[in-house]
Amino acid sequence: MSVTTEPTDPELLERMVSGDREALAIIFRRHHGTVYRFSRQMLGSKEAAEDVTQDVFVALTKTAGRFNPSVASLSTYLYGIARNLVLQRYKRSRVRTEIALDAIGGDDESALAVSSDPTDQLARAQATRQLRQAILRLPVHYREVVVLCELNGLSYEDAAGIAGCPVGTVRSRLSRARQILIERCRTVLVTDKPEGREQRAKRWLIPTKNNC
Amino acid sequence: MADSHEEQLLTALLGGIAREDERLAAPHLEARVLAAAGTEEIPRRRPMAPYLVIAAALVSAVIVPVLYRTPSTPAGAPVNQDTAITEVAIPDKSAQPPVVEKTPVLSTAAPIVESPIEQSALAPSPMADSPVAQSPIAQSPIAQSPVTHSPDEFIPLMPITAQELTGSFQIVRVQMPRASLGVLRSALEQPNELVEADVLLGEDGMARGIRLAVSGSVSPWRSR
Repeated sequence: MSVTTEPTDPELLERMVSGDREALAIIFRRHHGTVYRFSRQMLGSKEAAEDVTQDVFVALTKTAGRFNPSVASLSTYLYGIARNLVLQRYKRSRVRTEIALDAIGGDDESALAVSSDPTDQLARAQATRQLRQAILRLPVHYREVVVLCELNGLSYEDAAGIAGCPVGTVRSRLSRARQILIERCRTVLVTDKPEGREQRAKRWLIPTKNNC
Repeated sequence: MADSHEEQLLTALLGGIAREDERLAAPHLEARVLAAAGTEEIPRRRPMAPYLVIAAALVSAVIVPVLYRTPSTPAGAPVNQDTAITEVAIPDKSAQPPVVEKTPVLSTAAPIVESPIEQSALAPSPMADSPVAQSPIAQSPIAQSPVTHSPDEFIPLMPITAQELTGSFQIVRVQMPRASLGVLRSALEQPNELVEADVLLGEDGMARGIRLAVSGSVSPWRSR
């Protein structure tokens, strides 16, 4: 019985530096989802996220020598590259991000699948959409901690390493970002309260001129 | 102020978004990345912009005469050749390939060559055979006399190291008031008259030498 072990990221990086393109392909398959997800959540645009993802891995081929596995994992390193590229892009074309807001509607079908209550499903889908838009409207230093910690499940320590700030700053930014999100999504959140649910149910069940 | 219910709901919604986005991926980018990584080249150093070369030449032509206003050696006084020789490294000319260039650019405090002529292309000295006499310094008009240089010779504007001598040089022709050519001991009858001078530029863009343009020579930019 033979045991095959997957090569570690540092091993793959060494191979990549020595010109092994297959190693780069393996690294890409392992980590592109993380990079793409982060870029898309930060920029709100599929095309921009694809560009950033491509640039991140091209940059990795040039800067692989700087990676120190004893300091951080490769995914953290890639997050750092992606963050820098996202910030560059954000500074260059803020308008583009604003335009992309409408394209970020979330996947309503998956939101609908969560609950069997049609009105609840619709309300949740609406809340999700509005929350996505609110995240994209956050100042970028708030947005990145929300994306890293809340949407990608990174620890405060990892997020601090990626954002280049102390852990306490990550905590305070995240707290402030959550407050902003609640303020901006209050109308949706209120209707999801138990008492609001009844009102919403009445509103949805009683036909009006608008929805007839 | 956010209440706990709103906090919980926000957390739940954020968790829902995170779950939705878990499947976000772009595997089709793999080919693009591999292609881009394969075609990426190491960024090349930009060549020095021509205007920078000209600007450096002009600045040198203006500043250097001011520095030379205080003559260290009176005209006609003998120059201590030993002192001059110790200021520069003398390349071993015996190891150099034979002369290729038609017109040697004469040196003063240091041998200077015309682009793209390498230092090795310097013309052999018509002077004595002694090692000192064979050195560019000994051939220097300044080493012999500060005022007896030929019009074809470049007057050094700064000491040149042996390492710099191995590089190539460029010549830029500039116009400047005759009064600013103090280093050439130019006649000052018409100090405001514009004269043409050739500035010898090193690889770093710094002016290494200067000479009055040879009368009758055609300026490159005028000939166009």
